[in-house]
Amino acid sequence: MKSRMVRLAIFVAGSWLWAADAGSAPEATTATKRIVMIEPDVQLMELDAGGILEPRADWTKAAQNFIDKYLRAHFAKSGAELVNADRPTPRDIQLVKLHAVVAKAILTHVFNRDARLRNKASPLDWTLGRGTNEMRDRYGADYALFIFVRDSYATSNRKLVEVFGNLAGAKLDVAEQEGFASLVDLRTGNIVWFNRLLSGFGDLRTKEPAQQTVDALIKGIPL
Amino acid sequence: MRFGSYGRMVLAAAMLLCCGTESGHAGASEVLAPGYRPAPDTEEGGLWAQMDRQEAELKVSPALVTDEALNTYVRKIVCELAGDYCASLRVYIVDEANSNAFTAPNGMVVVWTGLLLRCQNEAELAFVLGHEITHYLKRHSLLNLQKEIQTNGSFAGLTAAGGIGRLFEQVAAGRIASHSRDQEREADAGGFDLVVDKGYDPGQGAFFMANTAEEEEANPNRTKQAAYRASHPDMKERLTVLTKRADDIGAQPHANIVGAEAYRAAIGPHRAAWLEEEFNRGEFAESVAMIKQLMKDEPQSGELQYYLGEAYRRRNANGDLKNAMTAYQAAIAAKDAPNAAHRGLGLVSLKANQKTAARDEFQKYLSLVPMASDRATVEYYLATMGGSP
Amino acid sequence: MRIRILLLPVFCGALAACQSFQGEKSVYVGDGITIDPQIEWTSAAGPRAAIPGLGLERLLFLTERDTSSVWTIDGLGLDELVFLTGVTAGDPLFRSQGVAPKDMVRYNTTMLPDDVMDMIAGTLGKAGDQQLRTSALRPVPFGTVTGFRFDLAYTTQDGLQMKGTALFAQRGKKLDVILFLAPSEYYYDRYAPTVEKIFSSVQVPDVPATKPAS
Repeated sequence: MKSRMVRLAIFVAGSWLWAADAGSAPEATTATKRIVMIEPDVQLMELDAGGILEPRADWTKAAQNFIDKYLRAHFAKSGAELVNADRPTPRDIQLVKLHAVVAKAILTHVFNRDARLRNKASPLDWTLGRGTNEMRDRYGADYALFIFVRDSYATSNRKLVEVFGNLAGAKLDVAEQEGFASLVDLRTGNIVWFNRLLSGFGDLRTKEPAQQTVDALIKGIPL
Repeated sequence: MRFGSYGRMVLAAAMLLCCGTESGHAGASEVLAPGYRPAPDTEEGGLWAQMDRQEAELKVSPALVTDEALNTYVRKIVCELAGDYCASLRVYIVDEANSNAFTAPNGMVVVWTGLLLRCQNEAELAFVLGHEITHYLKRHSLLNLQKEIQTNGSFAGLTAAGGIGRLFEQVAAGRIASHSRDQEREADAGGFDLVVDKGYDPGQGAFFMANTAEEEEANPNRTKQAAYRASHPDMKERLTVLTKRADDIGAQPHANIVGAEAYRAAIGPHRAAWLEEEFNRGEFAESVAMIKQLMKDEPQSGELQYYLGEAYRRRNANGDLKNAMTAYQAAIAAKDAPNAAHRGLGLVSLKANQKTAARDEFQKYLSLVPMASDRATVEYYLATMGGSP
Repeated sequence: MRIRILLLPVFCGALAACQSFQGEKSVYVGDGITIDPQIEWTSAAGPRAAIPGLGLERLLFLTERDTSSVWTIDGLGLDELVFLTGVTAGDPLFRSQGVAPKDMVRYNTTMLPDDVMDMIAGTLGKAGDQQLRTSALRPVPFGTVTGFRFDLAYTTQDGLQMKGTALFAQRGKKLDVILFLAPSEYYYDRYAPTVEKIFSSVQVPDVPATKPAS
């Protein structure tokens, strides 16, 4: 594991960034690209002095709003349209669950160089299959965006403990963000872009840090 | 609460993992107001939001039993018991073979099909649901989760990745939705009052609990769950209390709706499928005990006899070949035996080296189900068993 | 207690060069059985594992028997070819986390093919698979002996619908099982034709591998 100081110092927005190769890259056409997003899987928790994690509905709600807002702002600028899948069907949910297993495989086998699979060098080697065509038709979308974030924040007491703990050389878990974002081409089902977020100091609860976090989460997205 | 768990069905949550000591909360817990919803910046609000997510996922889960008639039936019982709180409670029947039901803090009532399979009448189910509604009204889950947070530093399964299935796993393992013994007493008392108030037979709750204990005790491999053992004094104590209260009422004139026919009509179309799934728990000794309990009320049921035969065949302990044979034969003698009873009898006859009987039964099976998906296998048995054709 | 969601416990350590089956036409999978892998797989768990420890999260059978292994192409949970070979009387098919071995269904040599199918289903059910259904038990060649196939469908604890197909044979006093498991959404159908070829490629020695010396 990376040292605390390193994690505190920088955003690690994925060890590598993959852009889709020319063959599968979103085509630069004049038509507006439409991206469907099923509710981002976001959860914020509070880490108190005793090391206790508590989900915070208010923070989660705030984070979801910020993510939605900054994603919309990004795509408005880039000329893509973001639509929400408000009432996902059972088939949509199956695709979301399949994506979760795919993402786990990617995080396991790509971001860990020691656990490589044959013929799998990058996230772009994974697919959800053409079952995504159904989503494409239903939402009239070209891509699906999947967002997953788990984020925890220390209370001020906890931060004091961390400072002193660190001085004393104690190993303490630090509040941190973990997550990923993934873009799927609904025509082929292929993952065309994937990014991991791992950060020690992002904040999704307040405006500016939230924007930084969203920027880091979608850094390099080809849309 | 736990009317069952990981296959170990113990009503007594006294035996739970997370609440080993007496709860100081239970007696003092306040009753929710109808339509209550906590503020989102509170711990309770965080919990509700968690459960709302799980509920949203459950709504589109492949495990959800969507049959409208069955849902209407169970919902109606919940609503009658819950009265003013009916609108706050949402019932979900989930295809899960273990015996359990629980109510989440946000009013999501989850009933597993393994519980519906085990209840023998409406009054038993009403008691279980009344018990659950009481946990909800008294906010027991919130108190327990607060306690768990203090003890373990997290919500266990709740914060982990993974959906409703993982939540159920946590419930089954007794890591969440478990209650202290005081809370169980309170829920028993509340459930009992609700049931009696609605005119149900007061003794059925105790019957269900006794059956649950008996099924648990039938399993010889329960060492790991020894703490959950039905012989645990708390379970005995609760059973005694419930029986005493039922007897007290029974001594006076009282309403006594049992609702066995209505109940059987409601679950009848599903029972065979639930029994098939029961075996995937791999707890055949429990299955044998449970099916025998059901047979007390329906000794003529060819369906139950067939599944008893299946349970014996799978358990395969000493004498089970003979037991299975007897059960399959009884099934075939009854009117409503599934055709597969002939295959079952063929299999155990073959194993007992009774080749003529095996041949007859396999042939009957194939003539009754000519398009059976396992036809080639049965033909293989016929072709390879030897003996006179 | 922190809950690590993304940083999965992969105990790689010093990793030998990737062990896969590129170009090999005949790979030994235990109990005298060889198969033609058809395409390139990574052995995720088992004696030739390229990724030691990976299988532990779901199945703990590795410590039980050195002839058990799991191959994958896209990752565990997406496609798994599971070999459980040389299961002897009294053995479970595999050990499952949180379940005592004696609580697992165990093999015995008097089992008929129907019993074996039920045992495999019961074992998967015990390991946490839900709403499991089996169908179409049928005899098929297993090398030069008779084996059996059946199909299965289930839902994972995370709610993903899965399909599977099983090939097994009872040879001598031992049971050999090969399972293919994958999500119903895309992955199962993607590899099903390959799996058919792999199942057809099974070769066993003419004499049962476990025939007692006499």
